[in-house]
Amino acid sequence: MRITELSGHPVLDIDTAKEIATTKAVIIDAEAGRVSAFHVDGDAPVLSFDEVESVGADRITVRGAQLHEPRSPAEQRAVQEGLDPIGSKVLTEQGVEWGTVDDVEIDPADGRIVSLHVGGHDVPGGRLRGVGTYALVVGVDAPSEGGSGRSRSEAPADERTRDELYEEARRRDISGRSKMSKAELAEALRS
Amino acid sequence: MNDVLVKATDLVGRPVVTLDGMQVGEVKDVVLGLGEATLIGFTLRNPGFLGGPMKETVPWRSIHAVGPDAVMIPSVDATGDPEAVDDSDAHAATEIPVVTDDGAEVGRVTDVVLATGCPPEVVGFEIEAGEKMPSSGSRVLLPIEAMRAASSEAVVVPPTATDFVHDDLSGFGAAVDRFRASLEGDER
Repeated sequence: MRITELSGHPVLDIDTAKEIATTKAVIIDAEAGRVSAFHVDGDAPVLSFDEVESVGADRITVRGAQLHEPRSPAEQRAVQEGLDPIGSKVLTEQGVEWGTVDDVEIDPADGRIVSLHVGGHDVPGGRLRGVGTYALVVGVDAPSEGGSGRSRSEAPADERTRDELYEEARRRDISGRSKMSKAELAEALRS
Repeated sequence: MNDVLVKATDLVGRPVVTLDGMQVGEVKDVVLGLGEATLIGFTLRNPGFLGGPMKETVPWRSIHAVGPDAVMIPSVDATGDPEAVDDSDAHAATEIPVVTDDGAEVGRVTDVVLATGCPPEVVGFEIEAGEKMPSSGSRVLLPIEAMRAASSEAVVVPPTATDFVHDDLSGFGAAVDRFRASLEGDER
């Protein structure tokens, strides 16, 4: 699912059949490699992705979800500075500008970022390093490959994020990887 | 050497961005040094036309990458206190005479040349050629390997170094490679 489809989406509480908010933008947790929340127009400005029941084509449904004030730095950037990944400038970690974000493909089940559409090219979600107010930063190599060795050291399998595990699984061409949970990916990589 | 070469002072005005995508400022001044560290770091200013100076500085060692569109640093923590990069050295490092072993003045240091990339690398000096040089008065480039010793009084280079000076950045990479090859040939 593309995040441009999720802007201006009504959030429906299916227990009360009431619309509690309208989405404005997605909030990306770059470290986790997923959409962690939605910036919404409602009683409070943030809806956690974990509170979402289903991301449908016409509504986002929740069951008695609580909206909240921004907590994480990513939520604060979205709410206080109006950060929206769409249209954001893209820089590589080498300091080269690639263009702007046209869209972001996410897995509607868990919010995982599948790929970024940047100036007609697809960048795998696993390369996302940071989402800031100046730019969205992408790695040129997969994060776990080491690169310069300064940015990120090789982490033990169970401490890596799902995205890092997924990236490793992609490199080793493990089948069924896109449907695996973090634990399943770690398991598949150990065997 | 596939990385692009730039003069350190050309980085003035380039945005300084963390890997989180946050801009901490832009390069205000490049602080040159001599000896072990030919480039000490950058001082910063707030972005924009009327950007004022900032207290924070970026030491050369903590730079993640120098790219054509931004200088990348790992995080805000990479910016240091003002004393780490002392502004007053910037001008001390330029104007230093470059002298050969046999006592001829080749010229004076005007800038440092960097290979962009991740991590970036200092590859040479830009010098203003002295009277003894065929290219007297113009700006020429000298590979960093040519430097035998340096202090605030002089940069000492071998007499052969003048064979490898280059007057434009595009040919400089090849000159550096030739100079490196000639140094290897010298080792008997």
